[in-house]
Amino acid sequence: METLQKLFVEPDAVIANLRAATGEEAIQRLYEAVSTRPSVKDGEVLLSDLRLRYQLSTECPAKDLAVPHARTAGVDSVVLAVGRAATPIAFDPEHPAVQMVFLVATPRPQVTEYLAIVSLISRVWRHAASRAALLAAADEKALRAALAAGVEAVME
Amino acid sequence: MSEVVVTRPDPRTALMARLLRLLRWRVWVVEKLQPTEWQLTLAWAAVAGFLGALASQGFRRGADLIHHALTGSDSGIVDSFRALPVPVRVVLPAFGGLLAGAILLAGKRIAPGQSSTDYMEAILIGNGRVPVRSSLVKSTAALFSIASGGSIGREGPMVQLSAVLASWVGRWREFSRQRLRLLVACGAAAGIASAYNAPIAGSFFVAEIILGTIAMESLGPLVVAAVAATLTTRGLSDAHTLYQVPPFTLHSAWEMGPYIVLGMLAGTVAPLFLRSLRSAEHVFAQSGLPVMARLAVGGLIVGVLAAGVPEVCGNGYSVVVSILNGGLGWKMLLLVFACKWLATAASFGSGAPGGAFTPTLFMGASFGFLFGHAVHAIWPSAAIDPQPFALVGMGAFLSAATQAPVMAVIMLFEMTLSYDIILPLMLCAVIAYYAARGLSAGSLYSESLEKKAAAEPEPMRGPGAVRDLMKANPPAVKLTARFDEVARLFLDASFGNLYVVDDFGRFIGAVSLNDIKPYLSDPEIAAHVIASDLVREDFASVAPDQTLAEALRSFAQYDGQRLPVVEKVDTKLVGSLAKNDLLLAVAEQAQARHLTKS
Repeated sequence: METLQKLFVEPDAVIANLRAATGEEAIQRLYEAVSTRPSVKDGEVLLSDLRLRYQLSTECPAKDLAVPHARTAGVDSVVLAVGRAATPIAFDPEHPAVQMVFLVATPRPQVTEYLAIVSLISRVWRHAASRAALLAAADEKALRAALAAGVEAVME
Repeated sequence: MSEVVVTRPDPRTALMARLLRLLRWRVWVVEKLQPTEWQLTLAWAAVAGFLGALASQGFRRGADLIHHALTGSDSGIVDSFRALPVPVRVVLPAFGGLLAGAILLAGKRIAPGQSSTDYMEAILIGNGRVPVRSSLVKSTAALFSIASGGSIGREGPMVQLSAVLASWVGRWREFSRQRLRLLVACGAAAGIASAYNAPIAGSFFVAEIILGTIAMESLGPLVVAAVAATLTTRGLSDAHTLYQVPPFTLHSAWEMGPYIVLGMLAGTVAPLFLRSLRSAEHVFAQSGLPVMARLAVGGLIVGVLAAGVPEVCGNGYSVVVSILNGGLGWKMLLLVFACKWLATAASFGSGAPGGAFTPTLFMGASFGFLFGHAVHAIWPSAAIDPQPFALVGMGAFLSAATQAPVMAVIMLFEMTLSYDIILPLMLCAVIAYYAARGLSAGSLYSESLEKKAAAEPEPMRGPGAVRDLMKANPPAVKLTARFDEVARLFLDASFGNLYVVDDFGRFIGAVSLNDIKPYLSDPEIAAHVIASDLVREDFASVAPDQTLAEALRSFAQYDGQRLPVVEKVDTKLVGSLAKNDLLLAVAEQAQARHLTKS
């Protein structure tokens, strides 16, 4: 759990102004941001698995939040990329105005780690002050600070 | 202080949250109470024990009632016959045989074409299904042959009824073939335990004689059934130690000498006794008499013998009590011994429904007493008292007749609670066993079972591959199944892992309850997590054509109770294999190999 919190405080990539019109585009941008990270051992597999999962079923736990994810052989350890939409993203037909996107990739065997990080994201987003801080952050630095504060708040 | 925005959730989210809360509690409750397959087996064994005891008690009361109706007496069979005029003594067992025969005939109309009712057959060479109607018919017939003085044991039908109930329960619960056979074995153990007030012997009788193994996989449920049956019997009746015996002291090691000889003699005479029963059976079968006439003739022979020696009637229990307490002189006993042998052969041979177990105990007790008396006459210091020889003779004779020395020793000890006798009893039982095996390979039960096995048009083949044991259509979800569907199926299936298949039914992996348990209260996770996110692809599986030994090796590397069965070629999920069933089948295979060798 501690490792996951650390990952949340220091994600692999943070994009304060994510420009994407659709869920696929959002996934592509965030993937590009993390594709060169050491944890990513096979970028193509990662992207393919992310797209495959996107097509299977909704990845939005809330109306303004999307968590595209994949348990994939493309990564060695958990990878997290955070993007705040510059303008609301039509992530899927049921979620036309997503404001925040968390891309999560975990190695295939790590089911519990995957659930833990998705749960943590949901809790931070449910926490009103954290959610407001994330949406109001001026830049990448402020967004990282808001993420750290959000984790701290839900862990209290 | 953190702030929380209070917003009214949309109805769908609220419903989901409520459902998940409910599921979380249900999972918690189910998980805390959720029994493993073994625990369930033990629980059903206890149920079989309870029902078995009720059946035994019911049969006992029924026999007493009919006995009272036929003789007007509430005493034991021997005492009742003693009080009857001689002509009635002669006619009554024949009349009882006639009635029993009539019931068997009528039963053929009630339950036409039903297979054999023998519980041992159902366990050993059958599929665990003991037909209820024909068993009830046979037990009702047994009530009349026993209550009218037939020289036959009433314990056999009690065990049979107990096994029938267990078989019925197992079928109702849709047990696998292995578990059904084990439950029938539990019923039998319960029947013996309640009939003889001997739970240890009840368990070991079935384990040693029928299952041929004392592996905990089968012995555990047998013990539970036997204990439940004994407790129930003690609650319903004044069950007590079956044979109250005077204390016994071994004065010197030299006294063991005569016991060794007794063991050898019992091991020689017991096979002769069994052979005489089979010969009588053969003679009656060759006579071509219809069943009613056959049973009436068998009863008539008993009646004629009872005219002079009423001790031949019944299972011999009261006479054994009398022998063990020195109530019979050797001359009288010699006469009773010879007449009882004839009477038992007549009853058993004519096909009177009942058991030969208790009459075997009688033969052993009288033989032992007569031997002890002879030794006393020749060498008084080696057999100061012939009564312990009667006790040891019972064990030796039983050991030789059933070829189950462990059960014989335990049963004798349990029925008498006389620990002092244990040394000569153990020695004598083992010697008798080897002596009997040297003379004859068959036991009281094995011979008829072997004949029936050989006569089966399509002999029941033991499970050879996983396919024979697997349960088809295991609960499974598709990759796109939502979290709440997964949780709901976990509750319905009460397994620890839920299998995941693709749209073509191909096995992908399994979702573990342990993985999702902490997140059951998280509505956001429930809203967007699907089976594909949770499935563990590295889940072990077995193929339908794998051998049981290979499947056992797969289980050795896997810490669960059930494995998916997956076709090798197209990876389709075709079933699931329970470890419980596999272990029972492997134990059965070992027993079958043992029987083949012997």
